[in-house]
Amino acid sequence: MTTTGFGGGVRARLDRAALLALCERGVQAARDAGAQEAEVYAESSAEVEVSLQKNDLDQVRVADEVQFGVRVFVDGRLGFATANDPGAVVTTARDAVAVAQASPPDPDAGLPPAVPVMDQPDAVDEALLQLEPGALARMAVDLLAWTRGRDPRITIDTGAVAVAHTVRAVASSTGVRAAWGSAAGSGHMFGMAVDGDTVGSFAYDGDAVRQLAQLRPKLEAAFGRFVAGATGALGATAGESFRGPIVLPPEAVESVLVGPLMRNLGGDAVRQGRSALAGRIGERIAAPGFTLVEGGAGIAGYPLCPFDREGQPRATLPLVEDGVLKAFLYDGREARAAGVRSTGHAQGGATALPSVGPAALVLATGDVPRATLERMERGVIVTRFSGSTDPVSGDFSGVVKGGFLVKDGERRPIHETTIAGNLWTCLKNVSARADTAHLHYGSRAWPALRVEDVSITAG
Amino acid sequence: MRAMLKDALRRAGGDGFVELRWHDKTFRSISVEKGRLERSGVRRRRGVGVRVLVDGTWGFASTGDASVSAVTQAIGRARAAARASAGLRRERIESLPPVALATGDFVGEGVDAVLGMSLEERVALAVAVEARARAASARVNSASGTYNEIFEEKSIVTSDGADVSFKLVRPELYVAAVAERDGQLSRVSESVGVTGGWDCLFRDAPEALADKAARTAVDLLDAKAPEGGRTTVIMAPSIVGLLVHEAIGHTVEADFVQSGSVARGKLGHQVASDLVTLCDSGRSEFAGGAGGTLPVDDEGVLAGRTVVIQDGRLVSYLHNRETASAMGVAPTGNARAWEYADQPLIRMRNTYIEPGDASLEELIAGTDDGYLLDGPRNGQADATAEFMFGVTAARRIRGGKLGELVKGVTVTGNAFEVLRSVDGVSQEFRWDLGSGHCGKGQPAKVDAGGPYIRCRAILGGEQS
Repeated sequence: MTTTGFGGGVRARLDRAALLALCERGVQAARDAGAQEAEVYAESSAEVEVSLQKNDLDQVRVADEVQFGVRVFVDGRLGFATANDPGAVVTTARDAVAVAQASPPDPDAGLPPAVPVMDQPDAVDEALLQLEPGALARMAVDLLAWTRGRDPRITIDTGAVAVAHTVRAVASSTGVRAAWGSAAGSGHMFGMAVDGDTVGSFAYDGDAVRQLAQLRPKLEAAFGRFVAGATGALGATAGESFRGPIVLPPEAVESVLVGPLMRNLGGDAVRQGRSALAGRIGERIAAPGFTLVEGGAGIAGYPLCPFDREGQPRATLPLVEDGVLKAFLYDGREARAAGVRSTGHAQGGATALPSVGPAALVLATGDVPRATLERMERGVIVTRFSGSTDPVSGDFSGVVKGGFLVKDGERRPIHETTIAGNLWTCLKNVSARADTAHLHYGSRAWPALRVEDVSITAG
Repeated sequence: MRAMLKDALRRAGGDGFVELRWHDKTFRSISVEKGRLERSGVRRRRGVGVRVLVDGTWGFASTGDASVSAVTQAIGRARAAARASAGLRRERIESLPPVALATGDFVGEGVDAVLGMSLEERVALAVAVEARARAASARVNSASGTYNEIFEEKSIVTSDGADVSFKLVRPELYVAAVAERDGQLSRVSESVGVTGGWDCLFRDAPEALADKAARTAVDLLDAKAPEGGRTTVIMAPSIVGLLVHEAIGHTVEADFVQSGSVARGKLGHQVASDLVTLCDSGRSEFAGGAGGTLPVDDEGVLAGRTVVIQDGRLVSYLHNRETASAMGVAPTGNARAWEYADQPLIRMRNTYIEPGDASLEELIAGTDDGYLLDGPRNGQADATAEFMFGVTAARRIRGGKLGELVKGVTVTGNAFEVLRSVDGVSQEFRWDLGSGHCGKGQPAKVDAGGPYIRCRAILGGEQS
């Protein structure tokens, strides 16, 4: 066991062995309390965060914590309890058993079997963890000045630069036993541009890295995008109402298209009748060239934990290939319900039951330069989308934030403009993909897209 | 627990301001879908958050170990964190304003009643409400029911005199129905979240909640999208609540004001119709059980009522002790932290427009062409006070009469312009935003509501 040292850098309180031992104590305690099957997932984390507010340094926050969740099955009934006190692992295991005893039976009760997980070394850059709070604070203040120095109209509402060390472990009565640690440096800025009495739309950007050497360059790139987004929204005027093309920059691809699509690709959505794609493997659901892949244990340069929330190995999984639906995501429970094997997509932390979801996603790039993609006779660039999509029907509507009207070779910022359409139609109407992708927080890679025939309404 | 905190404060010695907050939170959640239990669990997180002010700079540390030695060490880490950054802060905080800080014990309504319920009874509630929604119509092919409950105890001790403990409980119930016909689906959810006991939670019977979700989901199968454009709308309390919270309330949080929000420099200005008086309160005004109710904020300041807009004029921002000091006013009790490891931020509590003289019937009868908007699906607002809310149930109004349901409605506009256009405010009042959370880096339980108001706004719709 190691200890958190404020003077000795950022270090999680429990190492892999100590955390696994905690998990195994919890499994045994749950068995002793009457559980036929038990699983404990735990995380030990330490973080130093320098927060920014009102264009100034706000404070330095230091934190370390151990959290764990106990999942049990008692006579086919599910129970779950969590706590943040390792000394309470036995009482928490008993709490989980009590929850199970008060619950109706679960027809798909049971934990996944142990499957060998490749033993990956921790993704820890010691130089990152040795960054002292004072040095991190200087970097944060430098980046604040750098960002505001790009344009005097920039104002930062909130921001942060942080370094964290996380160790995670899982053990179960079915033989699962895995642990892994990682370090991350991250930062973000949230704010707007103010020009006299004119206040622009909110802008946000940030990134996360595994190596100290990447931290400053990646954050400068992110904060440069933030400045461009904030200042580009100034001076917005009314748009126009028409049906026509929209361009989705990488930042908007997830909110308009991929996010709602993913809500249909989980085994839980299929089982519960909430997926419009149920039973449609092999069908065309998107335009040719639209290829979406779940990135398994991470995209190049940003390794993720080699196992999922249930200790199952993570692997790359094509979801949509060249517009054709290829696969759904499953965790242990949904795999059991569907009669298939888990694809290793149990997500979540120690304080929540596992649920189906992707760890990393990559949308294939195309061959169109970004400038060409945005060349439209009349169309709208949806810098951000503030709206909602019914993931089942696919109907969506919402406001374009920080957007631009492109018309007759010129572009101008617009406000109070809404777009409405249908997800399933839009996926088939993707007419161009940019030739470069933006990697967001190490786990999402999107190119810009152009989508035809969307309803655009000016206020 | 306060005795332990005071002991740690003594041991750590006097070196600037120290704020200690013990927070023990238990969250229960039970979720049922299509007749089977999906999730049932209990999450407990407790510890002490330590905030210090040293050399004009904040430092924050937290510990899940509630022993005197661990808290004393955390005070040391927080002080070291503050010193490490003190030379880098431009605007130093010289002092916090003197204020009457809370002392004693407070117990919220309904704590014993809710904690006295068995786990089996809580599970049965979620099972029953889901079954009711699914049985409401042959068109309903799927439903879900969720019961959530937060029980929390806090003790706050500061080096300048706060010495207070309180506990409260916030249950919420959620039901959703999915209706289907010829492959076309519509999904509608209804929810209620309160601070208080079962009598508050069941101000509408759970069965009525389930029936309403199912009925609206079925009715929406026949609905068409609106044409879109600027129009007259009557906003129900649920939409009014979203408007005053998302689009007005955030712009008057003093930390955001200092960053340059659209409300900066507007104190004393007419920013809304003189029919509009807008407040934020730690109490549950006009009706019981508001979801953001709290007796004391996380700086130990009593959480009273703050008038933000009086008869259309902006008269106050929402403050913590730091921003109140900077602006030379009294703190308003708006400093809140989600869990022990979170630092207090300026957050709303229960935000509302005060009721007026008209009735809903009069507002509808006086509307020649417009929409009645009820049931928020989601909502976001911008630095500019431009907002976007999804609306579950929008009804056409023609010639002073309610007409057909329309689907896929979003309402948008600039919130201050919308409030300037208000020409009718009803007597009816309702809290209607108590379920779910507000997000600002960390979640917060809030509520919002008000009367029905008539105003002008932009509806998103279909272009042919």
